Amino acid sequence: MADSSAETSRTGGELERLRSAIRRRFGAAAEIGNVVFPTLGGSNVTIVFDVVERTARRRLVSRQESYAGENNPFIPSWMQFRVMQLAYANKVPVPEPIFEYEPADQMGSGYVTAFVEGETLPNRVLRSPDFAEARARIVGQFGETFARLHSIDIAPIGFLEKTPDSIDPIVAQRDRMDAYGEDHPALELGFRWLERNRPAPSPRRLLHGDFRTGNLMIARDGLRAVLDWECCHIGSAAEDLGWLCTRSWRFGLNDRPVGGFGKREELLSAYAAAGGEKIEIEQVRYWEVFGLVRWAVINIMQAHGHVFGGRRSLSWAACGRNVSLMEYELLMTLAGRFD
Amino acid sequence: MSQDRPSATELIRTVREFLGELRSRLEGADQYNTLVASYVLGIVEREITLAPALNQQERDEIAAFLNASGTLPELQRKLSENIRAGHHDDDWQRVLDLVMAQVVNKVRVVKPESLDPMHSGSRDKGGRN
Repeated sequence: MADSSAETSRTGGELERLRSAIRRRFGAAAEIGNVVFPTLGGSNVTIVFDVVERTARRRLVSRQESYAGENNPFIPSWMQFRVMQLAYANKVPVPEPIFEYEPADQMGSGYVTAFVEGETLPNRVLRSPDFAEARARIVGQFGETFARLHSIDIAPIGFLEKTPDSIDPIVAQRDRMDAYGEDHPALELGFRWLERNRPAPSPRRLLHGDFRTGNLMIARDGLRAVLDWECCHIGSAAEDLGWLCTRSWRFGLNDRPVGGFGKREELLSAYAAAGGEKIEIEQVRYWEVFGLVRWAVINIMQAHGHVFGGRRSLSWAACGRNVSLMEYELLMTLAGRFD
Repeated sequence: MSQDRPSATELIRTVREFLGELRSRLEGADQYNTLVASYVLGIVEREITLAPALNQQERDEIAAFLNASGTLPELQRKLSENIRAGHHDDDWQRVLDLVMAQVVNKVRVVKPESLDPMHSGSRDKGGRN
């Protein structure tokens, strides 16, 4: 996606600072090129570019935190970077973390990773013939990836235990919702159900926290990298699997709960075969209900422009009204009418 | 207050139809945002048409369920607090049905084609879907 002309004036100074930051690490002769500012995508400022040193060329991605007020649901950049390094060292498919920005870079909080080639757009990865081969094996790859991630020793990332989502993910979402003073009887029913049906305690694992179709870089041969490590926290393994199976990202393929790709049973088998703990389907379903509640709360936040710093936007306005669609799916699931 | 034609909903529909034509001449983010703008105007159009009757009905239903009085926002607040406090735990099916009816109304305004067939028949009140 090309840089639009409206962005060029804003980005002139930014490219200079990026070039300086790169030269600080790669040497004074390093150059940047093929710069792209993707126009789709989340809450950060993203720059995709080549770094060129003599004859070597490598494509990298810069991410900077944009303004976010209180009630920010994302973990700070330094935490993301540490977790990504740990994941990378443990052979979890993640873009290689390259370096973090420092105050001297004047790029705010953020970091640079390797660029991973592939496709994230759900419509393409779920429906295009180009990805038929990937679709045939990807649920198995999800199981293996989760098993690897959840097996990582969390001692080096003890700082993650103190985030609201690590302390209690249900209370964390409810507190976020309460900050907006809106009344959502449907979400109250969801929270009440989640409270009354809390699963038995299970071993505490490193969770990605936003592993869903849309955040997955997929190529012809399958899963290449898991993106967007802003929601990592410590908790029950089944929470990660349940989020992937949440109805909101089956993109119409409702009989394929695992991100629109396949069946829960296949995911659980692959997870167990790769050394993951035993998880029952009912546990996954519990966290799918949680997923619908959590996604509704995120959309409430987006409607208030809170996460992204108070700018008006058509998409975020639509998010606010789309909360009703998530509430509908939640109640139909609680009523036993949606699987 | 009396106003001349076109009515509010007719005005919105005219703008929405214009945006629909405009979209094919745009690219990228502008094209996408025009689609979202049409979507949002569709919501407003349905809300103007459906809301007055639906609000009245909802107010009456919640008041009857809670055996309370008040405005719709006040009743929604009370209902939410009650659910959180567990007051309706033993009445789960009834409160689920009550809140489901409200959410179905919301979806009728936002995106009626999302409704499951069990809910997508149009109601007598509130005009077209």
